[in-house]
Amino acid sequence: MAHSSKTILALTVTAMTVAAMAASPAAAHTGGTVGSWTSGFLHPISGIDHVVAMVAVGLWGGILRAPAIWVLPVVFPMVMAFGGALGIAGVPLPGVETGIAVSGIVLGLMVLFAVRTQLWVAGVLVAVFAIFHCHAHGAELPGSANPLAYAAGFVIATGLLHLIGIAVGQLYAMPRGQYVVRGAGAAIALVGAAFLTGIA
Amino acid sequence: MLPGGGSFYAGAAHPFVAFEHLLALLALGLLVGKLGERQIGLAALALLSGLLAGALSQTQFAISGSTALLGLALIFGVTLAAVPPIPAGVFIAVSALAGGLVGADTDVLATGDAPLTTRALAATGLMIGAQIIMLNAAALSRIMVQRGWGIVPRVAGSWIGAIAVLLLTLAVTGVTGAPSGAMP
Repeated sequence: MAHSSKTILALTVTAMTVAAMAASPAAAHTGGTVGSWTSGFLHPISGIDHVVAMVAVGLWGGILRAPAIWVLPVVFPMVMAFGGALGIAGVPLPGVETGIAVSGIVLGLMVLFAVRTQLWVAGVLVAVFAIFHCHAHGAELPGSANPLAYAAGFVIATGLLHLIGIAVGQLYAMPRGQYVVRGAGAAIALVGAAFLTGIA
Repeated sequence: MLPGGGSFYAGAAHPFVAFEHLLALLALGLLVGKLGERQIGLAALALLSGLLAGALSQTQFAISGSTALLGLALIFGVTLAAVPPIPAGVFIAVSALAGGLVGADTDVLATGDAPLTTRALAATGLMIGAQIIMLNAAALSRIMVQRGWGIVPRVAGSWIGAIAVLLLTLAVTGVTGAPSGAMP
């Protein structure tokens, strides 16, 4: 299958998956599990600062290519869960919002300048930011009606954002696609800067 | 028992609506799918045996396996994501363990006034429901691996492990929250 067809297929599948997951289910039971799932799923995608950073992880993976392109989305959820566990346990993490904003700037710049680092460096950087991002999600988990549904919702939503980034990151292999990917990195860095400076 | 549902249906539906069970069985199936067909069959038999043993244990005393199942889900998820070489015998043994915990955590044979037929039907439904989850996950995993999409079960394992970490933290820290598990 041609590379462009693979990219289109990847983007289509990802978009459909996100759309299907985001669609309100025609459930007989409202509140409880469904409400918690919805709350958890919407939490990562309700904040643009979360969204851009998660997509940037996937984009950067696309630039770094194998094995990073797949190591990052496999490792990130587990590290993210550690940050969430800190939030659940009530362990304070200073500067969470600042860390989230900085993650957008740093990851966006990594994509913009197509920085290629060793896998462990990228992994550590992403892991540190993952802790900041998930600490906020985890702090709200105990208050949900169904914590498991909430946890499943936000873990899967975060993973899907990575997949979107990976799908778009596939464009980096194309000459013109590099401009798209790096342009997205610039936009992400700007969003991060807007949050850090308080403009957003 | 689910109100309005027969005992067989209640047993069969239980692993689908008890999320700790679903998580562990899904992860087990994704793991087992990496084995050969014969080993998958043996794992399914081991799961069945464990389910029966666990369900029968309800007749003597109630065992809560929810936290243990979350722990198993975490181990399965990490193993899936990390892909270390593991002997097939280990998979078969953990299948039996998972089945035992699911069976013990399902109140289908608890002492009470329900007739034996009702309990037997519920237990049978439970074994079928659990097998459906495990075997379908194993089939999907096997298909993904055979088609070169082995990363998909690995990512799924990572997600399952992450969910399990969060819920175990909730259980261990005793942070007040609504009880997890079955749908309302």
